[in-house]
Amino acid sequence: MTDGALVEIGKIVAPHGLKGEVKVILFLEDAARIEDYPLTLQNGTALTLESLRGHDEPYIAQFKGVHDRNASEALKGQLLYTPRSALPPPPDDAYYLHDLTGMTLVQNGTAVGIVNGFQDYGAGIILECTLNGREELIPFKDGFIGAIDAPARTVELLWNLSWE
Amino acid sequence: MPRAVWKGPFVDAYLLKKADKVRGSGRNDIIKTWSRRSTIIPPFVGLTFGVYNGKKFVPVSVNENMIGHKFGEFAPTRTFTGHGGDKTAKK
Repeated sequence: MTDGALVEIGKIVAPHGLKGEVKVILFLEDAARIEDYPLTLQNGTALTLESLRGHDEPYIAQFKGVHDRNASEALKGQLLYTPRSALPPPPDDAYYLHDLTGMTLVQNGTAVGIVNGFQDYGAGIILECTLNGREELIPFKDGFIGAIDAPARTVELLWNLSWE
Repeated sequence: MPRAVWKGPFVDAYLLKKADKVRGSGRNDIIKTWSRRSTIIPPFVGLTFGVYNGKKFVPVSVNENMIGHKFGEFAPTRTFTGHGGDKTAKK
């Protein structure tokens, strides 16, 4: 993913009340971080957050310039994006999950597949990959995944597809 | 009514054999299982199971916090596509 790319960080799910507030769900580790990110809609329209309240999803947000029910209803269903470049550098040895998407899987120096996405069902991150034309789910874990070269966008695959 | 304590946790016998075999081999094989009903017990910690969800074998890396849960809890049978947002992951 390039720095100019946009990252999905939330979705406006419904209007809330008559004063232009909206219900939002956020795809962030900490909801309060939304205040640090510049927000845009998919069509490029910039949004400025005035307030965010609530203890759990959906949060109640108020955006600048959205102060009546008609304006908030127009935002229903819109995804919220932020530029990739606005995200802080990840902690040591950690990777942004969306950065892994599209990386090439390499085994013994040969490209063998591509990472299509990821899942987290509560038992660790799983990479959804296409390997030699077949879809495979690979645990994002030492012993299965080796070195990750972010600039070259490659992921070293250590697992030899062995099942018991 | 919960399961009687005197019976102990239920685990399919073949799964115990497979787990012993992989642990003995020292390789990082994924243990295929259709036994979503089996309870995760301490000897499974550190192993990775491929739990069938009706379509694929979902990798489940077992850790201590999962003991007492069933394998099926970690391999949903219905499609859900998550969002990355600003979430990070470590290996």
